[in-house]
Amino acid sequence: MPIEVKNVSCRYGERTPLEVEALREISFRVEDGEFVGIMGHTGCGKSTLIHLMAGLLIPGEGRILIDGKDINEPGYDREELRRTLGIVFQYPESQLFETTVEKDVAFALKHLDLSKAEKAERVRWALEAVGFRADSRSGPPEIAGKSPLALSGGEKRRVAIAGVLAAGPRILIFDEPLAGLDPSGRLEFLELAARLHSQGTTILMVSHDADALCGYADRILVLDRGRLCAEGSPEEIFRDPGRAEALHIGAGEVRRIAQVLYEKGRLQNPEITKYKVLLDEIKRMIKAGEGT
Amino acid sequence: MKKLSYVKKAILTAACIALCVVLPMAFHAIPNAGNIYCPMHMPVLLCGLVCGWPFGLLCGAAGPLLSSLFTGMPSMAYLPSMIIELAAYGLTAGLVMRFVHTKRAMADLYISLIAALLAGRIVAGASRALIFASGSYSMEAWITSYFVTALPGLLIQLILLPAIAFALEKARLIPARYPRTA
Amino acid sequence: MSFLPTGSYREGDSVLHRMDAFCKLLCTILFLAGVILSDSFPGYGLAAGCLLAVTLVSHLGPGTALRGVKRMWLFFCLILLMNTAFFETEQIWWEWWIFRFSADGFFQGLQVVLRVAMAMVLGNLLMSTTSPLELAGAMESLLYPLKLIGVPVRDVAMILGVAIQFIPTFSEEAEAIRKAQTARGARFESRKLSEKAKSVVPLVVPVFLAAFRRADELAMAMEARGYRRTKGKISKRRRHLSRRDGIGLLLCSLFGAAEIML
Repeated sequence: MPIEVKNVSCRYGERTPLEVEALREISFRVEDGEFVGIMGHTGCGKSTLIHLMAGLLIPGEGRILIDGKDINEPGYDREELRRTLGIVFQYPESQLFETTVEKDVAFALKHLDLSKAEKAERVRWALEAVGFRADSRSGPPEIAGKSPLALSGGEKRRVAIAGVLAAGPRILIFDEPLAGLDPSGRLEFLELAARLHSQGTTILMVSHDADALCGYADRILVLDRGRLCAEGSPEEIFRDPGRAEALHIGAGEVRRIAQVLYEKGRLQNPEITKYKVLLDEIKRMIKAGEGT
Repeated sequence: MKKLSYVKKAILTAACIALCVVLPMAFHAIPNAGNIYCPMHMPVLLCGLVCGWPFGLLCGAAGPLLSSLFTGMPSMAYLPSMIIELAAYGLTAGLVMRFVHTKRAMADLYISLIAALLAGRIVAGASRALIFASGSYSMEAWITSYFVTALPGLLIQLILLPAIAFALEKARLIPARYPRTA
Repeated sequence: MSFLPTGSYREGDSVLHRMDAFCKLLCTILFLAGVILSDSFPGYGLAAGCLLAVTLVSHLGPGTALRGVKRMWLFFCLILLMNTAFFETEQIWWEWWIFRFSADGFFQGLQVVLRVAMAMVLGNLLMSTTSPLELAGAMESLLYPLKLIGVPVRDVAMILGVAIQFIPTFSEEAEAIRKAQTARGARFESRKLSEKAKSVVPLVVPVFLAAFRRADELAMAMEARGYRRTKGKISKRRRHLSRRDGIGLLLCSLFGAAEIML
């Protein structure tokens, strides 16, 4: 299921004095099973890009192909798109509305041709994926019967994500999924994303959090004022911290610490963006220090 | 949750008034939605039910007014009769809710809703007919046509409003009418 | 993207644009009263003439002034037909089954149509030449006498002010929710009545929840800062009236009086 975005431009308020060019001639390709991060300053067009890929907006120019099919072609099956591509919007907990968690998670399955048992199984799987384990082997987790509106903030977010996962999308788009999460919630979410990725799901994640994207994404796209201005591995993107700054994306703490250690002569190579790699380097340094 | 304070009622009313402007816009994408769902009626009825009749009255009067100012819908010509209709909804919903206590929250809710919807429709039909069609036939015709064409809308309100009220109560944003631990 | 919808307001520099919003509102009410009270065709002629004159003065095109009127043609036809066919009178053109077509009925219907159309034009003129915020201020001034009968006008003004502030936030949230539910597979259309109601639950319930949550947060913040129910005096907004405001009011009063006489 590769996603191809070809020469896409998008404007708001066309033919009015308030015309805003949200995106300009964007082209990129996301392969199956990739984990791609999207970064950019507020108002750079990230949300517009997501809405375009989900078919919620129609581009002024250009084409968006999913699995080789143009999603804005008249004959394209929109239901198919809804099944293959799931979006977790910013603050997804605001979409909860049903009387029980179970019903809310099953909402996305309403129009699918599944038996009752299959649906229940999907709901149970989705809830387990976001960390709600069932006590018994067959029944749903305890939370399934509760009202989603009476849960805590973190639980609500997980239920909302389960509601998207239940439909079994092969492509998942996350829009600022870390906003408003505490450190443990952040880590929990990132591990969930990594787990889904390892199971073969294509993941696109929009975030301001450079450390999170660098730690998990294969590739990062940088948008600035509606243009795609950089594309590459985390190491490439943050090779020159000054350039990243100019694109209105700050390097993560990991990369900054690596830079400091490099300047002090403790590191051979400052291009470390992954937390675990930095940790290993520091451990090595400490061991070397003890040795002398 | 305790009973609502005056300030909280006032701000909830402000939110309902704002929804009177926003909901019709949100429903704009659905074809013919304005006629069927009457999206502006929901916040007004809810305001009357939750905050009481003075606030319901205010919401019913101010909601269509602000909507007309900001979005041009309803147009000025319909504004007076619309204000009368919605104010009647808010007022009746609040009053009936205050005086009916069946010990069952849902029953109270339905009784108040039905009373408010009927009262509002009659008042609106009559006022429109009086202002624009002061003829012997026109008045009756207007009221009946108003009533008949609006029937699906009435039923939809009866389904939607309890759902909204239930969700708000679950989210602890409005107090329960008969708290279990009395 | 935070914005206030401006409705039908068009910027301009005509006499109408420069008039004080409060006076313009009073004039509109007087004019509307005149239109509603008139019940003869010379009266309608006068009203139409005056409306035409005001439209010319406002520098608004006929398209702006007549907006919305065209879309109503079906409704107008229906009113005309119903009145023509059912009006109870002695003089009947011809009768068929339950229909009794009459000239009186036709004119009755025509009157209704004329009144509604003229009221719409009047509303268009007011809204196209006055910014929403000015108009809201004018409404507040108009409500001032209510204070004398015990209505807490300051609280009402506060509520209206907060409501206006809520509008852009809520509309953004509603749009986000609509998109999110669409992406989750919601369909906001259905044939059956009960299904129709249920199909909008995923939209309506979260919008209400989001709105009430915001309201709850704001109310708590206000209570924490000590906002109390008002009982004291309120300062009245001072308006600067010019000669054109006076002339406008005078003309509209004259028009109203003329309509009562005709």
